[in-house]
Amino acid sequence: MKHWMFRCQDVSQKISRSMDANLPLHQRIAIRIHLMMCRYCSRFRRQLLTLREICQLEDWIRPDEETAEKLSEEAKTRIKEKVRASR
Amino acid sequence: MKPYASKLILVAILIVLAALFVTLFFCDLSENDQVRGAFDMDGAPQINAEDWVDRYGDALFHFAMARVKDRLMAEDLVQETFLAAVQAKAHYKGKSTEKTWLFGILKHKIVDHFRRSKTVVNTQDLIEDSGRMEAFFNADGSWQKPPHHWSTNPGKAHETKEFLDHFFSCLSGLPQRTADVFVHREIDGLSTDEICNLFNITENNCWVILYRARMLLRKCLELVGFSPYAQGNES
Repeated sequence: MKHWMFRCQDVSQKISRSMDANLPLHQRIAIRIHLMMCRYCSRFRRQLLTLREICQLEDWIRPDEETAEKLSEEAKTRIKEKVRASR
Repeated sequence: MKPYASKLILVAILIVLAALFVTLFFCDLSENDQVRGAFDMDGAPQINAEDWVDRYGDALFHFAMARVKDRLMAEDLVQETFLAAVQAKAHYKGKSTEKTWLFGILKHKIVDHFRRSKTVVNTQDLIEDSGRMEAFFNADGSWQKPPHHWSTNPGKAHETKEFLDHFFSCLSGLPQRTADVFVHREIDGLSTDEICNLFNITENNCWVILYRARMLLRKCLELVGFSPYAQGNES
């Protein structure tokens, strides 16, 4: 029973690695089988995907909505001037 | 003879179906193509930096404002973002949209800002023994504190906002190098290969750092308790 696929510690490492590289098929199968048996590791994987989603998030409120904060006109002009000056 | 043949055919069909099932089911476990690349691009974009301010200024400002809650500071961050973008545009050419690229720069600036202002959740204080990943597991390799169930609901703006707040303070509180590698991977969408070159580390090292970053981040997020997302301990 000391194969890595029965240890959450090793599986969690492989799951993390699967976010960055294509694992060989036998490892993917082993992870899948582990995930079917282990809800904690399934949660872990779900959480890593959530972290990724949150990193990619840009605007969750459309800028045209009333609650959206907008740049003031002075700020826009000032930033444009700075940008122009920096070139 | 005949019944054998039909049985054989049945078995063969079952085997083919099982094989199909196995391939379809097991092969989707490769998450690594999901990051939109913001930096590995070809073909220079047509850039007019002043247009950017009109087009993306409000969206960037809204994002920054939600993070730092201070108009002047948010304006500064947006300005820094545009200035950095002007500096960097020679190096980075667009495959991802300009908007994604600008947001990537802004997120870097936000992490830097949090670090300077020290309003970070310091993971070293928060998580005992944060350097050793073994501390997260029992000797037999099982979870010491099993991950909670996060009921993420991307549809709810308020929950997302709160989650993002905690996320940025946790991220800024990671050891600097760990946070940098994570940001380059997940926010900029660099491949581990490119990160290795950038930081001059081995690929294995890179994976270890990313693993540590993810373990610490998810632990930190659970510890600071983003209430709408955490539902009970063991459910």
